Amino acid sequence: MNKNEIEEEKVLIFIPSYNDNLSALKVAQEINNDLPKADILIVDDGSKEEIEINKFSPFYHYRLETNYGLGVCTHIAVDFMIAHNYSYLVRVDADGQHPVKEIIRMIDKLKLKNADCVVGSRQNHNDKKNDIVKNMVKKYYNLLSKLITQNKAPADVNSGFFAINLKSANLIKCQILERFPEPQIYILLCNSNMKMVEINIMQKERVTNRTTLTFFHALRMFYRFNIFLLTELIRSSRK
Amino acid sequence: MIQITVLFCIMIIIFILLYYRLVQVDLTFPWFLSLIILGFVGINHDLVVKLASFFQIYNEPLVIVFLTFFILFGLVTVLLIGYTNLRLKQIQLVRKIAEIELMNQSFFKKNK
Repeated sequence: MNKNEIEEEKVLIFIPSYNDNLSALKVAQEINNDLPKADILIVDDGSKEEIEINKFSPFYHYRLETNYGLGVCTHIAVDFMIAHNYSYLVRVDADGQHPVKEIIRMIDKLKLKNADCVVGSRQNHNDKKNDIVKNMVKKYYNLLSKLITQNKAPADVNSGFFAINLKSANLIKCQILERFPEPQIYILLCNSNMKMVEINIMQKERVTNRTTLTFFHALRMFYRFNIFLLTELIRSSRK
Repeated sequence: MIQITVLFCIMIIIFILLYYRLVQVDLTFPWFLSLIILGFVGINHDLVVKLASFFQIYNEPLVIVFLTFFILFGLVTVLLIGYTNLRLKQIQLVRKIAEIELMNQSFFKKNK
């Protein structure tokens, strides 16, 4: 499948941004150069400095007045996708770490392999040997996700680089997504028998700013993940 | 009668908060219920003795302390549920507003 064939489909690229506005615009511009027919939605999650986009810009833009977290941003993008009948939604991080060139490959997998969700599994995200605890936690997430989904979950459940079709979007719309919702989304889709496909990607260096995931965020995320797994476990045993 | 005086004072404070609309009337209902329970237990010595023997508490006034802890835990839980509901409703509103704003942008982009 080539670019032109993909451009026939209605594709929405969603870029959530929190204090990454300059970089978000660069990423949006890069995607726009690569896939000019795809619509791009930037959701500013209450950044300290407001992003400057005029109404004649090719990008859709929505600013939340306060920080609600990635879950609410994802809901806004999914609602927009469903309301305007887009075939595919691709999420790309604003920090420039996701390889934009891989978007075509993701849509390709959604279309030709009839996948409901394609996840870009980062091959180089465990490279920092100093982050022993961080790497152990990630391995814990991945292992438990594999267990609860009977090995259907992607190898990297914390990857924010994913693409979904309308069927998956309708399922996500009915959920309540929390901050850093990626594991929740993938486990939910796997347990709902959606077809999950993985592609291997090489994550790039962060262009600007630092990660939004602080120590306390990570601790809360760990707590939330375990509670979510427990509820999923009870839910699946009831079925 | 000190127990009744304290409870009466708390009730007056709650009424003042309600009068100035600083708290919502539905959210104060668990407070009202807990004050009635505490007031009833506070003036009814026989009930305290019976409760102490039922829970095998040797020091009888501790029943009131444990009951207060239990009621406080219940109040906090009710408030948490209320707060969670409010948060969910707020998120629904935020999503709706975003949908309308993006629909306007879409309309503008199509007609420019």
